[in-house]
Amino acid sequence: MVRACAWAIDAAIRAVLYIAISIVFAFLGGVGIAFILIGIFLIEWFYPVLFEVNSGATPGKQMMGIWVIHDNGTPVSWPSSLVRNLVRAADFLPVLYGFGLLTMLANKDFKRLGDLAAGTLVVYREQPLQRGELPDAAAEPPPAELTVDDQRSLLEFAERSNLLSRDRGIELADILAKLTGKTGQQAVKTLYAYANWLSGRR
Amino acid sequence: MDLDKISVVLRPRTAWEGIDLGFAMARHWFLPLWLLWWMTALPVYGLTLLLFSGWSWLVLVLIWWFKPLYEPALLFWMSRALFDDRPALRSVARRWFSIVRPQLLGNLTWRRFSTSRSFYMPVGLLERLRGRPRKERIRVLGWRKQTGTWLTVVGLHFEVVLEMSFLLLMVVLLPEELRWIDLEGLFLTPGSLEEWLGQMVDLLAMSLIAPFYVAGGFALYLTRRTELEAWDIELSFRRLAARTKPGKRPFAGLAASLAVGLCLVLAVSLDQPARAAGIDREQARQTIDEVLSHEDFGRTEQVSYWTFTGEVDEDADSGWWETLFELLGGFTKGIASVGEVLMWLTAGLLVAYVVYWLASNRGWLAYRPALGRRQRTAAPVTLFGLEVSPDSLPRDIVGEALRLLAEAGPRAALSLLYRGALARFVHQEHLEIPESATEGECMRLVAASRPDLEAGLFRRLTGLWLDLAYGHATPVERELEQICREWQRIYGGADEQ
Repeated sequence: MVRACAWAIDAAIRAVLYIAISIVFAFLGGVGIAFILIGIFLIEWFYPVLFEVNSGATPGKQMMGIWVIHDNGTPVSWPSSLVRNLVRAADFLPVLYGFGLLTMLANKDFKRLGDLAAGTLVVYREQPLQRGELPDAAAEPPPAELTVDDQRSLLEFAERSNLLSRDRGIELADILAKLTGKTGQQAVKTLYAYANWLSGRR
Repeated sequence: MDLDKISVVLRPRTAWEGIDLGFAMARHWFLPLWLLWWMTALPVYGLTLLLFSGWSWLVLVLIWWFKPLYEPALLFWMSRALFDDRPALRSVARRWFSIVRPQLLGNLTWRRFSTSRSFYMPVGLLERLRGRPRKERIRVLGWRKQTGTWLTVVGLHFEVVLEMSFLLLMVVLLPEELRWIDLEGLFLTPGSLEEWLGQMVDLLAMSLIAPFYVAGGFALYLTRRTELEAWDIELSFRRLAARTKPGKRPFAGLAASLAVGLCLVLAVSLDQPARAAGIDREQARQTIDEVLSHEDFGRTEQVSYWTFTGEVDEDADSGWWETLFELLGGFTKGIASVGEVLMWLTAGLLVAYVVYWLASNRGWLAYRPALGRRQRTAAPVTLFGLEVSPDSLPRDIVGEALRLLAEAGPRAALSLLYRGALARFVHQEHLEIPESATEGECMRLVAASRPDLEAGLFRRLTGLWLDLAYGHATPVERELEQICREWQRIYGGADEQ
């Protein structure tokens, strides 16, 4: 899905480049046509490679927030980028990435043939985590010992408080009635207090 | 709905990741979903084929149009399977109508054009909302509408690509001898075989994409609800609550399993929670420092050892290099000075050549008379075969000419006059007439440097002379007499020289 959109953006960019080249070299007659063909060849085969090796993503992928890495998480290198983009020709068969589409749908990691051949992976580029604002409450230590996951969900509960409806907040807080010893709005407030304590406000 | 049994990992996701989750679900449950799709689609296809067998295009449009009929079963099955309850396909088939029925009319008419069909499907089919509540619900969910639309658009393209791929693949892989279909027949002038093939391939492509489309929309819906209703938090809270026993503080045994930092902070609070809350930052820091300074948390040690730090006798090394560089420097300097000398030499040669060239081509720059003056010494003795030296001529040219005119005829007189005029110009007026000049050139030279009167006389003379010499036309005596009088008027009677 994302990759299809990214591909469409890249295809549009390439089309613009082709048109620009054709306009520039069309004035040169026979030699111009040679230059146009060479230019199209270079762009078609090396446009993705250059971008992927440089920044991990073609402009289309960048816009969609995804990039190419090796299976083991390291940045993609020249050989693997070349391989995955040369096998693009096989993915394209029989028409407009028919095989590529089928492979991606059938594959656990949405890999097309080129990715399988080169050992690469297209993943979401992790966005820097944005912590929400914690609601104001006097910090209070949680009465029980909490695992990291528990702490995280307490913090999430407080941070996402403005997304949740009031009733849903109370409903959630009531689940932990045993922990807080309170119910209703009081329980919500207490959970906020725990979250503040966990975030380091004392 | 029992969230504890949910079989996907719930966490806040971006919309695209939500769709990816759906695709993963579709792949995981592909076979049942695919069969469920065919369960409805095949009868519908058969029915349309029976009713409209003549109109192939109508069949194609109808099987596409009735998509909202095939999809609810998939969604229903998935919504159960998600909570670890996989209904048998048979039971789904038995309840098929009740699954499909909600708002069927709307789904098949105006809502058929909704671009977020699979995203909104759960609202109508699973929550069974209709009318205003449905609208309200969609408004709340609607923030991910764009991605839902993209899902539909891209899904449609996937379908077309797959269909084309299948058809093309079939044509390409058929042996040449068995070519009972070809591209042209397939796309432009389909016969009954091609029509049937087209429909089957169309159905196949739709059936392959449909599970992904429905699951993608469903996962998008789940993602949005997870975000809105914090399902992930609920799950985590429930796990925590299950572990918490009221009135009892079950800690001591667990402490070892916790992360070290957490353990430190909590260890204080475990024994005396009240005091833990009251401890101030300074004290805490002191305690932390104390604990951290314990040997268990690492210690500082000084270890000395030998290590290779590179070549020691750098002096010799650098000296060698320096001499080399000096040598090289001297060499380059030498080359440079030679180059300088060469450069000046070349410049001098160039200047000399330019001067020489200017000198030898002075004529181009200076005006013409200078040239003439240089060649002054070579005054011609004869011009086009006529003697023009003063010695060969009588002193009184006009008198002699008149005498010749009377005695020997105009030819001799004219000859004498012409020669006289030339001699006069060459020797008295110092006109530069080269020996090779023709009569016309002489006339032009005279015309250029003598007064009009003389030039006019000479022009008349030349004209007569040319007529005589080349045209054998004897000049009229009267005209010759006129010329003689003119001569006398200009130069005086007898020659003064």
